[in-house]
Amino acid sequence: LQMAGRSSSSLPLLIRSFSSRPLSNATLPTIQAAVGHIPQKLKTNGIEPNRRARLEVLRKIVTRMVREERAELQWNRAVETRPYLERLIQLAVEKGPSDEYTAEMVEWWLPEPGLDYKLFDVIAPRFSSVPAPFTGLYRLPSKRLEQYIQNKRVFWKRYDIGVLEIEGNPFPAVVSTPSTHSHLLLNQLLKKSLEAKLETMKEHK
Amino acid sequence: GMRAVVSAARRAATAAAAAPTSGGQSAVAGKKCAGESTALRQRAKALRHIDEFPEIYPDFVQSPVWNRRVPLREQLERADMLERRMQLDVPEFYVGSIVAVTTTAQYLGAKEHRFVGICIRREKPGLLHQFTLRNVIDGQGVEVMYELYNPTIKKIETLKLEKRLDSDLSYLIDAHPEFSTFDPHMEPVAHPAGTPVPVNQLKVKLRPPPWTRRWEVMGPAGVANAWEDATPWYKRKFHKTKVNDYEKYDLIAAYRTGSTLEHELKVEEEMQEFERQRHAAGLTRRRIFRSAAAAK
Repeated sequence: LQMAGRSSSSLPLLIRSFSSRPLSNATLPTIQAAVGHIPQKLKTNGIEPNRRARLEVLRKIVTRMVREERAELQWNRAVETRPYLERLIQLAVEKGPSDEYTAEMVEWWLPEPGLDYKLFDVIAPRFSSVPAPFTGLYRLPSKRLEQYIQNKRVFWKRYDIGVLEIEGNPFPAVVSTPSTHSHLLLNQLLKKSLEAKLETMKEHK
Repeated sequence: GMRAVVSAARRAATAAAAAPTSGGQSAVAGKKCAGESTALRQRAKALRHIDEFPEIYPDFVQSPVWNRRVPLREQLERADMLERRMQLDVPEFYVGSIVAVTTTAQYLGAKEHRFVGICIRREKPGLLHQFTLRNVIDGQGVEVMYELYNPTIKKIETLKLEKRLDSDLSYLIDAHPEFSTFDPHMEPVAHPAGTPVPVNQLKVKLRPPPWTRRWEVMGPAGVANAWEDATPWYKRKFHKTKVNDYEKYDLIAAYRTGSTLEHELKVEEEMQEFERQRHAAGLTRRRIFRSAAAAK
């Protein structure tokens, strides 16, 4: 159940921030990625799993994505991070660095130095005339990792893996298109020689 | 450190670049930044899209609860809302504007009742949309909630069109009475068409605590010295208070509750089509789709 955007305390000891005038004025288009209506609870290593920890996990992934432009990660995390990344790129493309709201979001979501330059001056210009989605998500075969050994018996844990990438990255495509080798010299020579052989066989008949 | 310097330098460079040296140059710069070549932006331009649509027409914006966004119900409600807006002139007003509402009153001699107050909140989507006016009458603070599409409302007038630093002025209940007192017979202040709606930078002074809500925790922008005015007991309690200021960075939570450009354009198109049909029928010239800040 989603909470309406009002300043009412829904849980004990938890007070929501009061609704000050939102910084951003012009509304943005829809995000061209699947957005679940219930946010996933992401497992946090040792830290108490709350909403802040979840945002931290997402922030780390978004930072890594802007820095490296492609990452292999757990499927559920990739699915969860994709709309955040789309929204951030959309803000950079539609509003630009001069917008107050965009600058504040980028400052929080990309704490590493130099990444705001990368987002605004490297990634955003790719999509100035290209429609969304700005990211791609692919599914890889699941991995199993050794967890522990008990009485010489190995216990594994299986993880679904996904590849999240920003469009226009310099790497080769995740799903490679089947390439033809007919144009190569050796193949051409073989083809011609076979054709010639066929011709001679026909003449003999 | 370095990142802040880079950001500041970039912002300065962008501001310098965007400074209007000539109309053409700034237009080109704006175009590149906004990605105007996309079809959606072109459609927005064709429809004369209002950027402040969620502020001017909060009743036409979808429900903040994701699961309550039912397209059929919204479409049916919008038809009724547009019909009502053709009968009753609903002026543009924001939270912080001074509004006068005249409702039918069965047992009064004049058969109508007029209430003047400052709009402190606007809630609910669709036909349920309501706004609350606050005033101090004979030393008693009074808040009246009106449902915008209530048929017993005879007239709504915006006496003073302005915004405040917050989108919710509930803290006025704990402020000194002079901040909520408005003359019931005040004359309307004309807003020159084409000029942006002014933002009143007033910071309200709260009465001595205790208050109805913990204003000192996430002090609203329009309150002066909320933390300083709080008592030491509340300041000690702050250690145990779970303050979630980080929620504003959750982009997708904001996306789930907020509006989308596609929906706004669809509604604007419906409004304009409805207006065109009614004007063509010749019965009325009333306009629904308008903005005080837009140039004529």
